[in-house]
Amino acid sequence: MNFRAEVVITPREGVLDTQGKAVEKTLGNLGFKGISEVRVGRIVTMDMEAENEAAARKTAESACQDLLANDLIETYKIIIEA
Amino acid sequence: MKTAVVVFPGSNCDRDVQRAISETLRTSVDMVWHEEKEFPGHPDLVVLPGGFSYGDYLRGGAMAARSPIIKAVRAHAASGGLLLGICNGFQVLTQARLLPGALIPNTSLTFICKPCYIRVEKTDNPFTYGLKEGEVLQFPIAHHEGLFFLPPKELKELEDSGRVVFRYADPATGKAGVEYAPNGALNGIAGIRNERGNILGLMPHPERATVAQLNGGTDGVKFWKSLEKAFVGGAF
Amino acid sequence: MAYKMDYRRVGLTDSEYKRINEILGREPNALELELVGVMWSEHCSYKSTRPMLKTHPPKGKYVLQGQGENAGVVDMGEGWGFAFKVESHNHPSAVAPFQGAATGVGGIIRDIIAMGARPSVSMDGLFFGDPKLSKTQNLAKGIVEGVGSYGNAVGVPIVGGKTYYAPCFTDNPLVNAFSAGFVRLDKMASSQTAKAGDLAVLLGSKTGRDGIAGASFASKELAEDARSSKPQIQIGDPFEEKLLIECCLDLLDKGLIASMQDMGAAGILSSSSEIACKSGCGIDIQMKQIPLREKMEPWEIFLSESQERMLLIVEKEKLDPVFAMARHYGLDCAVVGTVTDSLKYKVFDGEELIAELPIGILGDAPEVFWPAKEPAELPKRQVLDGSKLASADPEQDLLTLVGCPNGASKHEIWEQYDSMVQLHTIVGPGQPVAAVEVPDTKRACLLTMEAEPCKCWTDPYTGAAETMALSLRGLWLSGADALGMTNCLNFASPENPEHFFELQQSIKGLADACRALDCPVVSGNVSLYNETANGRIYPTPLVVTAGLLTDRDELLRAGATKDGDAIYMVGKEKGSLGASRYQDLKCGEPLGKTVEPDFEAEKSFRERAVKTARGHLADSGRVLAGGGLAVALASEAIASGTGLKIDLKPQGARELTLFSEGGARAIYAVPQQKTAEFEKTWAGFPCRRIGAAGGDRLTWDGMFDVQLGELRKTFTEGRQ
Repeated sequence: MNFRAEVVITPREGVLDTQGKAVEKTLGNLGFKGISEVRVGRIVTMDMEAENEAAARKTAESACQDLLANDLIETYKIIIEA
Repeated sequence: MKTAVVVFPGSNCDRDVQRAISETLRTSVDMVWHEEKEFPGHPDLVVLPGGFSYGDYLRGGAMAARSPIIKAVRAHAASGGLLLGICNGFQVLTQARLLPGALIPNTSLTFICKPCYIRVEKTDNPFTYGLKEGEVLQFPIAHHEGLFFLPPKELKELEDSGRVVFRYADPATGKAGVEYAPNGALNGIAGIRNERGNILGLMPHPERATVAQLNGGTDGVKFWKSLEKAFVGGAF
Repeated sequence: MAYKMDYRRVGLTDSEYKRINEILGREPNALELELVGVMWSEHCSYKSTRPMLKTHPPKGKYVLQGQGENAGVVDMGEGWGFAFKVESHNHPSAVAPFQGAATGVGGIIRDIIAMGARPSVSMDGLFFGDPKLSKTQNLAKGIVEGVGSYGNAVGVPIVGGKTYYAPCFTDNPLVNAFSAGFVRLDKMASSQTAKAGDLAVLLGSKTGRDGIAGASFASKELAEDARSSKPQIQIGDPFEEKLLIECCLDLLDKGLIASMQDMGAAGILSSSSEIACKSGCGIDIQMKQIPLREKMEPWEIFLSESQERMLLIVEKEKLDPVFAMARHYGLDCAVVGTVTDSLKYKVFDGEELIAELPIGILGDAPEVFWPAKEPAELPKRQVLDGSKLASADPEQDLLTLVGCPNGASKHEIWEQYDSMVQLHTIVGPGQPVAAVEVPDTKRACLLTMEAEPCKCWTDPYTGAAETMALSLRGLWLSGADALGMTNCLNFASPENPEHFFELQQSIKGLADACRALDCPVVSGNVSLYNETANGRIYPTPLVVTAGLLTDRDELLRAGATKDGDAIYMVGKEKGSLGASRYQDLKCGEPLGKTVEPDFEAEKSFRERAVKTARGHLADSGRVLAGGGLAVALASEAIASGTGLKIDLKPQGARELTLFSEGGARAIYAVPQQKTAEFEKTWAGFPCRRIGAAGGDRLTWDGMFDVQLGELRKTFTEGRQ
């Protein structure tokens, strides 16, 4: 079956997010009020062939652990769609 | 001292390192493509050079750290061989978990290329054995992601175990710390070693401070000679 | 005569289309029309400027390869050639600054690879609008980041450049990318040596819709809504380019290819037709073999400007090792055609012949002779009201000139560029002259990049001649022999007779200066139509001149003044305030002509300057440029870290002595024990001692008295 995996990778809690800080400041300068905790991350999307959704999720997990995310400084969320 | 320099797709400073080492130490330097499974002969020193391996795509050094040659790099380090990672090479070492930490974007969020001063924190390893503790050297930097990061507990462990080898410093006063780091590196950490002391990673480029007629200074010469001294003297 | 095809849609005029019919003996089909249309566009054919560019002197004793190849090559000695060229990427950068600038860098680098040289240095000429506007700030940020992101990743150091601000560039920023490389003379590649039976091989990225019809895009003014032009922007991949560099150099080194062509404007079409035409052959292209990223129409495939692709000409027997090499570097590689002796450009879709053109037609756009008319307001531009130019407070004026956007330090820009990779930079950015080691020798290659838009605005001929002379003076003062020049001509639409006059006169100014001063023009680029409904750019001919020092120890630098040195000024005490930085600041727009060229004086200067450098008669030297003598002294004091005490008493209006520009003029710092020999060397040329170095202030009796620290702060941080 064909699946589409979407992996959202963001800086871990407690990690310096210099980009997030800069974006938060700029949003403030542009007049946006009440915005905080801006984090800047990455999205990786991939099409994959798998038996079922659970298998697809397992493959995506492995990809994250092996390459896509550096677990020292990043955390990730996986969304699988058929 | 036999030296091998690993060349990843996108490495830029490999030939610079080759020139700096071969001209200073008068040894031949092997260039080893990342797809090789082992090093020719048995190098004493393996260098992971600077540059933009894999274009710095995904994360700097992330894909290079999964190259075929890395297995041989680990084996070389495990057997006690000397392993040096410069700039992108340092990033590869952290991505491969051969050194702790991660290098994240500079606080300025820009690429920075300029002369840079670092203080020698420790001389208890083969890399800085021939240098003086507290001396300040100038090695140019050129990077976008040079902010050394570790969570607070691990950072303290690293400091307490004396594994910080270079720290960004002020040449006038000899003081070092984050306030002198052009990239915001925590505690001003510019270079660290592993527990055993045979792996060193640093962001500044010693090879750029080696050739006299160029504009990078010559403090790098001391670094290469220090390496050679430790090796020849068999102190380690 | 009623034609069936809609030729105007592809940018062809009636007379051009008539000519095409004459050559073919029939009307072209749809695909053929697109092919000729783009090859006959201004951007690809240079039809408006070819006749004038032929007046540039192409030969010189150091020229190994002049115009006609991908880049010019000059002889650095000891078996080394130096391939260099500058190219514009103005229109794409106005619409998508980051990618426009990045792909501009990528494109010029491939021209250098095509000569068989390893791209070794880059420089960038950036022209931005009013720096107070956020539009300018955003454009500038995107362009600077684009240049850096590509250059740094691909590993070519940026050793110098020029960043200039003027309101005329607000809607029309200019990005002139220069690159150069050293090549072993016995390993030089050519695009003229293909022969029948050879195979055309495409190396590098797959072809996609990037930059479709970018060539025609660059040949028209920018539309009101520039965003609608977005689909035409190319996206760069510096990682792929780095692999391309290494692979091509490896192929050349192993003798597997002898001929290469970069795929620039109109990618596959221009590269394959040019290589066949220059080699006196024909070529058959098999469209089905071209690796594609997405489904594309035939005309899109040929016109695509997908980046990071090279066309190689490979002998049949060498095909397998070429493919193996490409695999080693992880690059796509495909045979896309065969060189023939038919003298025809043929396109096949499988068995079907879908286009056939005589090979010459593509490179043979009829020259266009636009009418030229002196701009009606040119005399007005040259009128300078002296009363506006009085300096009530020379110290404040000096600080303003030092801290204004065009005077202040650009370190915030060039520190974002890797200027040291490849380990051969002797003098890097932030200096008047860049210097690079010639590999494995004691020689040095010196480079200057100059443009004077304001001076060309008030008088294109004089401004262009002064631009060229200025670029040479820097080399001579450093001790180098000039080897050759490459230029980028940035102008408005040639269809306007007044603009065409400016173009014509600028080219003449450059040509006359080059001829008189023995500097051949080895390559170049033209960018026209730099205008929008809101306005047009000043005429901006940009030149990059390369020089050679056989002994790098003879290099005379700026910023090396020592305590106790005597300070000399050589050349006329006064230049002209016309179109100078000072005048522009005082009047709010450039007015007045700069000095008329005096080529005899330039030659006198050259002889003495080179002697001074090679004889080690001075510690430091600097040519007068923007801001004149006062700013040169300030720059020297800041760079050297020593104060200067000047006691020159101006003859006449002090503003002229302090701030005038133009003509062969320079300052030197001479150690006391060498002053006699220095003065002897400069006999026969205006030369006067004007002060001494020492202390920590820049003082000039009756003019200014500034603390070095304050001067440096003004320079580094700017001052509005």
